[in-house]
Amino acid sequence: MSLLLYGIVETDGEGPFGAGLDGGPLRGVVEEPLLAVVSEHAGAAPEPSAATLTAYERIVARLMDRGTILPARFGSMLDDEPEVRALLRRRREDLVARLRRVRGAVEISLRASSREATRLQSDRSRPPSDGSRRQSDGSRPQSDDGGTQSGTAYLRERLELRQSARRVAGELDSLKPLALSSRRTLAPRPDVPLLDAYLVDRERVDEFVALVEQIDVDLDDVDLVCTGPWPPYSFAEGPPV
Amino acid sequence: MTTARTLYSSGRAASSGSRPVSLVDLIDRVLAGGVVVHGHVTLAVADVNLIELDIALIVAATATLAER
Repeated sequence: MSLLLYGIVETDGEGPFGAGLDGGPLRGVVEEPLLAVVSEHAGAAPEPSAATLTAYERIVARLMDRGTILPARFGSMLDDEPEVRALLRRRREDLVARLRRVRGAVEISLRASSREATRLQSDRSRPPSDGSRRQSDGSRPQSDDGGTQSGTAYLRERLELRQSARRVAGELDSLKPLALSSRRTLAPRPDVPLLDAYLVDRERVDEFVALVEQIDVDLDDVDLVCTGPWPPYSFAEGPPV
Repeated sequence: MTTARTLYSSGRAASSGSRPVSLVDLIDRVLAGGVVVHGHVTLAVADVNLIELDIALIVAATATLAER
């Protein structure tokens, strides 16, 4: 029987914590001043299905309502309590610093999607109606959907995506003063020029979203999707918060 | 309970307040973020261990698959 890790809190946030993914109780493994919230789990790590991911997120969100938490990545398994305590000891300084930094704050995600890529995806999902799709002549790479694309065209698309990402990033920089910290990923996927995460004080979320809406007025080649409040998933690892 | 939702979406501001988040947004947080435990998993077929991988790599691969 292994332990499935949900998140790390300070020891003043002790249980009961409710039920875990398998329906069994969550419990705390303490290594002062930290407490890891875990449940017993038989077998391999849980499958990352939509239903399981949603259930996991709800458990972590419930824990966030109790107090400050650093969420664990889905599927984080440890062999036993000594291994959990070793993790807390090994990363104590970093985890304590991060918990203090994210206290009273939530994560807001901002995803910019290329309108052109969205349109192309929509077009590709429909069968060709006019026979205009070219046949492959063997001299060009063939895309997954049977269309053709030259190497030059591919590189041009990538370049345009990076340029779009930088342009959008410049516009979104005005959000930073409202955030305690932020993370930015440029062009994580072909249809996403930019993926941002902001650590925002709970009291300033409405103000933050209003500014997103205001910035969106000037962005004509991307769609913005702003989601939250999330537990601080993007601030649990990486550079100091 | 504070559940993440779509706070704003281009062109849908009027109705976005109560909409749930999409799977891709969930994956970007739950599978790509969070404290990483340096464990490992073993991929096996018919009780024969084929390969052992760092769990972070498995998660990344799963996220990529889920996008498609």
